[in-house]
Parts: sequence; structure tokens; C-alpha cells
Amino acid sequence: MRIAADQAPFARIDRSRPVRFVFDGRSYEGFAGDTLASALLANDVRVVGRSFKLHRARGIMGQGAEEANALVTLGEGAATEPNVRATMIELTDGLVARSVNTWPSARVDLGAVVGWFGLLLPAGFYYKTFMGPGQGAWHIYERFIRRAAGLGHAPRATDDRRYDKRHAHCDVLVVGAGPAGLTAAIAAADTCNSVLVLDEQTEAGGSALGMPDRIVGMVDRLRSAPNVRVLMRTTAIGLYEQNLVVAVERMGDNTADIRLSAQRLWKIRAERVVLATGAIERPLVFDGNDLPGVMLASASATYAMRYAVACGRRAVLVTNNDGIAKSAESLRMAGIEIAAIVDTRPSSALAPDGIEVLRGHGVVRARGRSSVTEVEIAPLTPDGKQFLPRRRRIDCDLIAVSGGWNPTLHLLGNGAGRTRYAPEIACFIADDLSPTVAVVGAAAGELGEGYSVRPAWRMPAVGRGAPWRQFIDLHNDVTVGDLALAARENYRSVEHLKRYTTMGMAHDQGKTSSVNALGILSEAIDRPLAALGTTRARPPYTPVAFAAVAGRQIGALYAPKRELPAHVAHLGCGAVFAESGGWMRPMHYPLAGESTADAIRREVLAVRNAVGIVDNSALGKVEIHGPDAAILLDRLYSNDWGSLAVGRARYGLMLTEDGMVFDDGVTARLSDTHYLMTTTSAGAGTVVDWIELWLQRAWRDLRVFATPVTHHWADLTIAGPRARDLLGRLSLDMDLSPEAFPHLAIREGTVAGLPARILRASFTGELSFEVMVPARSADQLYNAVMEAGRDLGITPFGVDATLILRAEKGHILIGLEADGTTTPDDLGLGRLVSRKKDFIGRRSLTLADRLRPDRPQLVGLQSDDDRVLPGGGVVWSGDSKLGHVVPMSSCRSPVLGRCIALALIAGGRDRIGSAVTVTAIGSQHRASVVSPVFLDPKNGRIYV
Amino acid sequence: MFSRSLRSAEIGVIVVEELEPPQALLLRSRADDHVAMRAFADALQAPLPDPGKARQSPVNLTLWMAPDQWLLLTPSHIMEQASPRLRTATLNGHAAAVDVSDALSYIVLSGTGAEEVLSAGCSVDLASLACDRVIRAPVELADVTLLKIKARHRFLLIIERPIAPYLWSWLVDAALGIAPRS
Repeated sequence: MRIAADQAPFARIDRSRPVRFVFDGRSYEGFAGDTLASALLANDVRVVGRSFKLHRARGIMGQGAEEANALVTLGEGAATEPNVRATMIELTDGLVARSVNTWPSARVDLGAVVGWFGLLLPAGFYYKTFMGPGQGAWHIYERFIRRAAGLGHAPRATDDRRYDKRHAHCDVLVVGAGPAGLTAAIAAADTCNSVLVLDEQTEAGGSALGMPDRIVGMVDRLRSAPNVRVLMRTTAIGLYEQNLVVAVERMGDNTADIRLSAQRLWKIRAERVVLATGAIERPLVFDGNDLPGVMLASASATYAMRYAVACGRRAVLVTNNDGIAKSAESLRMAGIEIAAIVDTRPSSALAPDGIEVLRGHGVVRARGRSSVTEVEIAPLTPDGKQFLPRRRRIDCDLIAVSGGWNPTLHLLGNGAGRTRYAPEIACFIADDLSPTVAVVGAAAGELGEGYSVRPAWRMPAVGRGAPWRQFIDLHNDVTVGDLALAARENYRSVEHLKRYTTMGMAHDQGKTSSVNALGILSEAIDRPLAALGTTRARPPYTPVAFAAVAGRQIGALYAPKRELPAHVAHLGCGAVFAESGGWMRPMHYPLAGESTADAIRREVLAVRNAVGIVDNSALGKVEIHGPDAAILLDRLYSNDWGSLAVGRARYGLMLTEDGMVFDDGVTARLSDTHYLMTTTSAGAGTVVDWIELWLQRAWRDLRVFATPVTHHWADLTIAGPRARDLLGRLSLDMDLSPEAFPHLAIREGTVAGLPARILRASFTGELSFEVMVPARSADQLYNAVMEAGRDLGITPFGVDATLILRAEKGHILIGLEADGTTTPDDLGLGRLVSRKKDFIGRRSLTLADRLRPDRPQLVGLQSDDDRVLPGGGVVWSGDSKLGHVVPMSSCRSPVLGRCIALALIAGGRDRIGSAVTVTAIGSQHRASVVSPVFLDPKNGRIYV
Repeated sequence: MFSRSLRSAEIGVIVVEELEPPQALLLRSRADDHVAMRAFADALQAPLPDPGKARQSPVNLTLWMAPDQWLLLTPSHIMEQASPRLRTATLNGHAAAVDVSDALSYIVLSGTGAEEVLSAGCSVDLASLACDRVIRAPVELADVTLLKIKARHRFLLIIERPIAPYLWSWLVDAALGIAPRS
């Protein structure tokens, strides 16, 4: 119900700007300045949702982030956002919201039938019930449980609104713009260069909004300070190491304009952080305390003063502390009749004019069908454990409760401080703070002059079923009965209790339930509350949309796609691209109407019989300069390098300290002190980091520099028996004859008018020349090769054909297929391990494990039933599992006409000639173990 | 040293411009190798910049990249003159000069709000970064060498060539995000 303007003179709503909105399909009207919650209350909508487990009718109980009940789905279509607290939604024209976990509506919900069986669903029922009757039963239950679990529905369509991020820096960050935060920020502004203030509300003022005399001039003063920035609608969700504060700003959730952000994730680095996060009022726990109409006293006062909304016509206030006086005054100012104040304390200084105060009384139960209609109270024994006779019923439609206050210290949970129990104010306060973090105001336990409280974690239960109607965690339906059961079952740790009962595990993370639960557990197991401690509050402080976390890292901006230098030329040849090793690489080049398999087969045959060109620019390239370059190579690689002549190249294996192969490549000597190292594509960055690590930390005496040049040089490889003929047509200034340019040699000169390095090395098993030119000339060279090789049958080939060509030659991909678990000997490359020098990994090669005869060894497999073997399939000998098929090596060889693969199997070389079985999900294959080199074992095709 | 623009985009008051790459040499020397450092200085007629700094002359721009790395950018005709001297310099001490002209791309971001555009993906405090300072930092998912140019709200971003299309798209998108308030 809306309060007249003269009874809420400082309300922050604009009565001249009505706002239409829809909730659960019905149209309502509020005002600018309302939240969805205040507007619903103004329209006397009492039931706004249902609890998670029992589907009990629930009304609005809070006014901010602590709200446990009023979850709604906001928006429609792609812009739908599920599970938003109605108290945090700024009312805008045309807003559409609906309750969650209800059908067909919050008022009439068929799911409420579950509540009839509430007593059968206590804490832990899930674990106790769904274990039997036997193994596998869970899989039957799981289907139904998963269907029942969860809240709300994510939209299926893409949310096109903009979510982005900002980094910010400041001297002082003040979290919270209530009176304490404003005071802190003004003080900081006088002495610091930059001050940033965050607050989750739409305007500064915090608890003083609606009662502006406390903050008169403060907001204006802050806004006029040139070194202060204020971000409203911004919630700090985490405080991390070195004062990194992450916050979410709600900028315009309803905008469809892509230029305007719906939400923004802030990452703020602050020299100092001031937490002025206020305190959250605790509810009181009594029979029926979840009825709509039972709410926090401070929330009812806020609705009255700030939003001019009466949450009821006749209220009973229930408390255990003096703070209720302010709420009572606000409600009375707003014209709400206060029938009585029920104070659980036998004596107190509480004495508001004209209001009956029933000291030493408690609430037996709240009564009403769908919302509160009366409250039953009774005197308490002096210890508060029992009710005395003389019960009394009071008609009311609002029960405003205050069980004390909890300083809002969730942001300390990640290491910026701890909390300790302060018995004098019956709450946990900050302790052991980081020197650069301060807590001020109510968050620091400053709860008002003369504040007095006596803990009352729960009211006595009258009747056997009452504990199961005394709700602690309103959202998850955790009751006093649940906690008592957990305590009987010996759940004494608060962390265990939390997980067993799900207390504090809802969207509100126990903001209103945790301390009451701790108090009740403390009494149940007779352990001081101070010794129990609290559960750890982890970020985020409030739920955050995944979209805000993703920001603009979506669609085309999800990740960089690196294109090869000759990308345009590949496009011109009809390449089909896929990401491989972080690059968009041509997989194959199908002709019109040609299938993928036929294209790959054609490309393989072209390389074997004529000539092909492949773009190997993604291979890592590192220039090694310095008089100690050969020493560096000797230490990095397992084989010898000192003897390598200028102009020659050598294949090498790089090991990690544990003796496992981690990269490979051909390195060429360009001059006495200058080498060009090539690495795998995936290892290009890792190898450079590896070299720098050793040079900077262990080998500082070496006079050598390693400089990555991967992106400077394009590498187009011409491979096939006609490769030399083709290359010779490209205006070379070098002799390509086998004598002048042997296998594993490098030459520098010009090709097609371009400065070039040509490396003769082969991965395909054919005569090959890797022609390296400056990257921006790659297209030019590619097109020149294609033109010159037209009559020779030049064929572009991609990754798919390369995988077959190398499998036929028995080459494994280091880093992808040999994944750091194989030694050189495992790969049949033991000859590349020098016995004359030291190198990284050498000593590990002598470990007993590295010498085991049953180590996985690289072999070839040949299908015995003419089917392509499953990549990654398991290789068996009888019932013994031997190893696996190397994932990308399995193929039907166009040249050999049979299905082949590489495999890593235990003691593989001794098994050559034996039969094995290969299995994968749904298939079984027979195969023979053979040499991994299927084609040209003497390399006659290379040395031509 | 940048002869022309390859492409540019104006989003509100923000301008994103990709420049034609100049010749680029990565100079390698230990900072305490006085022989090599002096040889480079003689060849360039100026000492290599101190850590975190850049030095601009009428014909070249030199940026500190790492404790033993400097990036020399200069037009090709100037590089032709300087290259022999630089390569000679590498012989006089433990040093190297590596051609990386085709490895890098260059994007200039300018306009009021340029800092805010970058702050959408860069965690460095750019407002307090002095002019002519060089930093290497991620901008969203791209590793960028970033130089704050003397003119206000102007940054030179140097990036590995294959990542340049991503960075370009990201900058344009980020600029779009602040355009309504510009």
C-alpha cells in the first residue's frame, strides 16, 4: 500500500513519473525510484515466490542483497535473466518479471503439494534415501532429481546485450556509500589523489535514504571533488590478493542498444580499501516465521521511508535489541499502526512513546493462510528456553522482526581479514585485517550509541512439529528441526553442517541465516559460539551473470585466430580451414564436387608422385646468436651439435629434466655464431620460454641470445619427386643439385626475387625444400610456385594429407601425440641420445623406470580386417592392455593401399610380428604389429 | 618512420589506425656489456633507451623491450644505411641484430577516452603512465607492447602480426562501448 506523501516526506520515489510493469502476467503500476520489490508491496502483492524444496509461499522479507525469498525471472526472450532478487531490480517502464519455481503462479503453485510431505524430507534425506536398494539405483533416481533440481531457466536464445569490463586504479576504494562510506570517502578525498566509491544502490546514502538529514551535503560534496569517482548500481563481489576488488555495475539491463552496456565487470586495484558495507539485520526464528508478512523490521522501515510503501496496516514488532526503536519510529511516522513491540529480553531500555512493549515475551507462532493475520505470543522463562502460560493473540498483517545485526564482512572471506565473535553485540566483527584494508561504520560493529542486544537464536517450540516450521534458511527450507537432526547425527563442524543441511547455500549465501544457525548449533552441541567460528564467505558476494564474467570475449572476439601469412593464397586455392596449434590452417583443398576423403587422397598421391606445396609457417623459428650458440644447443638437445658445419642442418630432440621428449625440430647453422632453430608449431612459444629460463637462471655465463622469429618468416614447403625441378624455375641464385645442396642443408639467397632461406629437410618422406621468405611476401611466393608448377602437377596439400604422409614414414607429432611421457628410446630415436656430453634430461634417462623393457614404444599397426583403426583406441594382447593407437596417425594409406597407424605399446619393438586387438567404444579390430616406418625405410626418396 | 596508414576507423572521438610497418630490428645485448652497448650507441648516434622507455629521433624510434632487448624502428632507406653499422656493432661485443620487420604490426589508438578503451582489457594504470614509457602487457587476449606517445590520449600498440586482426577488432569494439558518452 502506498503511503501519502506527507507521511513519507523524504521518500525517493517520483510520484509524477508512474511506471507500468508486469509480474506473473498481471499489470501493475509503480513510480520511478521504486524497486520491483517496493512496487509489488505497494500493490499489496504479498506472495512473490516459493521456497526451493517445499514450495512454501513466500513474501518479500528484506530490502537489499539479503533478500532470501523474492527471486524472479527478469525480462523476456533472449534478454531473460533468471533468479534476480526483486529488491535489487530498479523499476523501469515495461519491465516484465515472473516468479521462479512456481507453476502456474506464485499465488497458486501446484508444486506446493511437496510441502505436504515436508516431514519426510529432512536434512540429509537425499543421502539417506537414494542409496538403495542396490548398486545402480542412483542412476534411476538421478534422472528425477536432476529434473526437480535448479531454479529458473536460462534463455535458449543468444543475449545480444553488451557486457563489458573495465580495469581501474585508485588510492582509496570505498565500498558502500552509506553515511560511514560517505564520511570515509570525503576524508580520503582531502588527502589522496584518487578515490573511488562503489555502492549497489541507485543513489548514495545507504540506510539514511528517506531520512536525509544525516547525509545533508555529503553527496554533493563528494560529487564535486575532482579526485572522486562514484559508481552507483555497482556491487563489489570479491576482494582478492593485493586489494584487487571485482565489482559488477548494472548499467542498463533493459537496453537493446549494443553501444550501451547492460552490465560491466570492474577489476579495481586500490592502494587501500575501506569497507563501509553496513550491517544486515537478522531475522528471528519462530513457528511460521516464513509466512508472507513476516519481514525484517529495518526493511519494513526502509520501504516506508524511502519508497513510501506500507508493508502492512497493523504491525507487531518482535526484537531482542534496542535497534528496533528506529524502525518503530519510521513505521509510526508512515501511519502504520504498531500493535505492540514484543521484546524477548526480560528488561530493556526500550520505551517508545505510546507503544506497548511486552518485555520477556516471545512469539509462539505466526498465524495466517497465505499471509500473516495474527501473531500468538507468550511470556518467556527468564532463560528464554520455555514459554510460560498466558498466551495472547494479536491481530496484525505485518510482523517486523529484528534479531540483532550482522556486520557485512563477506568481502573479507578471501584473505583480507578474519572475523571473531563479539558477545557484547552478539555478532561477528572484523579481526586480523590486512594493513591496507579498513572497516568502518556498522560493518565495524558500530551499531548505534547504547546499542544493546541479548541473543535469541530461536523461540521455544510448542508441539512436536513446531521445529520443522521454524525456518532458518528461508530459501532452502532449512529449519530448526533440520539443524537439531544434524547435531544429533554429530555434524559439529559448521562447514559440514552447511553442506549437510544446505543452510546458507542458496543465492543469498546465508546472509540472514548463517549466524542464527550457528547460534542454534552452539546451543545444541553445547559449544561456545566463539569457538564454532563461521563458514567462509566466498566470492561472489551476490550472484553474477555469466555474461558479465565473459564480457566481450564472445563470438569473433572469443579468442584470436591467427592466420598464416599466405592465408589469402590458400583461400584462392579453395582451402578448408581449421584451427590447429593455435593457427587457422588449411586442412585440405577440395576441388569442385570432390569429397574430403578424395581430396586428401589426391593430395597425398600428388606429393608422392609429383610435387605439392604446404604452408609450414606455423613452425616455430628461433634465431640463436653468439659464440656459445653451439654449447647452448648441446645442452638443450640430446644429440651433438658441435660438429655441425656451416650450411648444414640437423634434427634434434629436446627433453625436459625428467628425460621425456618435449619438442623437436631441425636446426641449421647459418654462420659460425648464428643458427636457425625450428620447433613444433604448438611448442613455438614454450621453447623460447624454456631457453630463456635456462639462459637467465642457470647458464648466465653463455654468450648467446635466442630471438623468436616465427612471425617474420613464412615457410612454404615444396615436397615431392619434382620439387627440385619446380624450385629451379623460381629465379634462384643457388645450386640445387644434390651435391651442392644435400639433404639437411640450408642456403640463403633469393627466390622469385625475394630474400629467402631454403632448408632441405623432410617430414613427408619426399624430397623437400622449405622456402622461407619474409612473411608479407608469402602470398607472392605461393602464387609464383603455383604458377611455375602448373605443368608439373603442383598440388596444394594441407594438414590432413601431411598427417598421412608422415604416418607412412613413422613420424610422431611431438607435443601432441608424444605428450611428455615418452623418452627418445620409446620413440625409436635412441640413436639421438649422445653419450659424450651432458644435456637437459640426461641423468633421468638412466633411471630404472626409463629403462624398463615394458615402456611404451612406437610401433606400426596394420589392420588385418582392412578397416581404419580407431585413433586413440586401446591396444590389447589377449586380456593385457598394451597401450594406444597414436590419435591422428590412423589412416588408409593411398600409396600402400591398406589401413595403417602408429601406436605406443608396452615393449612394442619386441612385439613386431605379433597380432593384437584394438578396441574403441562400439568397435573391435584385429591388427598386426609392424615397423613404424611403412614407406621407404632406407630414405631413398629423400636422398635424391 | 611510419610512412602511411593501412586502414583507420573513427568511432566517436576515438581513432584506431593501423600503420604500414617500418623496418624493424631487434637489438640484443646485455645492458652491462659496455662494449656492445657503446657499439650500438655509435651506430645509432644515440644510446639505447633506459628500461621502460622509448627514444625517438627524426629518423627512428627505439623502444626498450626487455632487459636485453631493444626494438629499432626506422624507414627502410634509413635502415639500409644503418644496418651495416649495426651488424658491425654486433661483432664488437656479445650482441645481435635480428630482422623482425615482417613479424610485427602497429596500431595507433588516439582520442579522448583512449585510456578508457584500453582499460576495457588492460590492467595497467594507463592514466599514471608517463609519456614515452613502454610497457608490455596483455590487452584482453593479446600480448601488446604499448607506448604512450607524447600527445595526450595517444598510444602506439605493437603486436605480433598474426594477432593484429584480433586486436584491431577488439579495439574497435571497445571504442564502440564508450562512444555514446564521448
